[in-house]
Amino acid sequence: MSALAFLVHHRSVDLVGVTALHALRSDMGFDQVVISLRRDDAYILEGKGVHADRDWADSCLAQAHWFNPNKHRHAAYEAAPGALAAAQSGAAWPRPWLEKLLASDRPDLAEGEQEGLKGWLAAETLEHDDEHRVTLAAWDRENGLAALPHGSWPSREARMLKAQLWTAVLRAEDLDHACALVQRFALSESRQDGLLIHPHMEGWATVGATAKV
Amino acid sequence: MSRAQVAVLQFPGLNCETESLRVLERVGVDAALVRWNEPASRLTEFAGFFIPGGWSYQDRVRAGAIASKSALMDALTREVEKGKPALGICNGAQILVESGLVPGRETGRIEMGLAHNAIPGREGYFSRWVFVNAGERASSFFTENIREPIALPVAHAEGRFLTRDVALAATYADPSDRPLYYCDAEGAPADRWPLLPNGSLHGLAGVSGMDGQVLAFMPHPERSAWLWQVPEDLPGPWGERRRAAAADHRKLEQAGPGMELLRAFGKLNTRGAS
Repeated sequence: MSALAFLVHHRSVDLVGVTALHALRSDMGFDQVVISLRRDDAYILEGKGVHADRDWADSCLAQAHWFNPNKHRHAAYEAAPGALAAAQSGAAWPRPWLEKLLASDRPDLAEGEQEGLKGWLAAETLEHDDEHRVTLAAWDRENGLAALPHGSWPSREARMLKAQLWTAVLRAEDLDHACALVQRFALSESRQDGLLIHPHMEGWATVGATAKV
Repeated sequence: MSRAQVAVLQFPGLNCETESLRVLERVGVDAALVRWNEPASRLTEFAGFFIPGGWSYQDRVRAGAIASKSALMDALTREVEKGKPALGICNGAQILVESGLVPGRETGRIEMGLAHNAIPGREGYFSRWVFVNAGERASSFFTENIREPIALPVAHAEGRFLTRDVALAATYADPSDRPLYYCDAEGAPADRWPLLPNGSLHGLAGVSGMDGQVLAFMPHPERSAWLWQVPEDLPGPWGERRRAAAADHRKLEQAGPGMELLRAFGKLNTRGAS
């Protein structure tokens, strides 16, 4: 069994991401902590009949309402299965998650250059020893997990998780500290802390954490 | 008797400030606009607060989320902790929920959310006139004048109160304990669309906090504050009053159903303003 992750990202400035970063830094006291914040939409397909291949990637591309090619970039990845189970039951998110780039909006790039797109979740380069990168996935508790939407699919038996990926580059003592800080400013538990994810409405998981190597 | 000062808070994207100022003047208080980029310390001058509807910060991240983190909401929290009342309408309600001021069992802790509407066969923004009643045991600063169902419009995409806190949800199970709930024209609790316009937990239209001094309310009382704002085809007593007023302009200028809630601000005049 394999899984397919289809990621969509704004070509130009993501106003939601910029506004969230501004609130974190200017209003919530994380100005010395958060360096950058990035937001991607993820459509994760798993289940019987899903193959991380070109047919499935093309089917994702055909779902025209997922993205606007004039406004968004996109990439399809072979992914480790388990994300849907994690969303459903709280199991650990599969790591490493994104395994292989299958297709992107830059097929003209040479193979080696396409490798650069594997950093889709890691667009920001970590420059200093105290910089870390943490990605959280958040999904609607009620509607995040769903059957495949209407459209042309190689199989209708798969299921889908629609999630939002928040990737923060931040200063922290170590990776554990970085993950704890991200949870603090991401989970809206109180007015003082937490902005990005509302725990009464959304599920979430840490899907990636990287330190400078 | 001096008139109490009530602040209408404006964040970028809110769009109901003019009519909110107008209804506050109508209930007999002095209302002033306080913008997000003014010194937050200015709020100490006021005896009460009104956060109107709209789309603060374009609903980025989540409706009300960005505004709730502002210095103005820090200052508002300090003022309501002194016992001053605050009313949030629609997006204002979303800001109060995101600020942890309602239900406010622990000030600042976010105990509820306002999720996207749950409507059979459709999604997104929804607008219609609804009826709302107040639970007798949940009487508060804003609802104690409400003796019969009031009619007013809802206009929102995220108006469904919900919580993962089972114990908190249970406190609203009995209609008498609901601060404000959707109902039919006679006052019977609504449990399905269209009388219940968004699938809200236990039909909640409004949730109060801070001992009833703070109210987050999704419908728009400032849009039904005069009788002329009520649709002529509305069922129930308010529709009858509207039809009886016909084209008599003096009668049409009488208070509408939304005023039953808004006139609470008038009580500030006798409290000893600011």
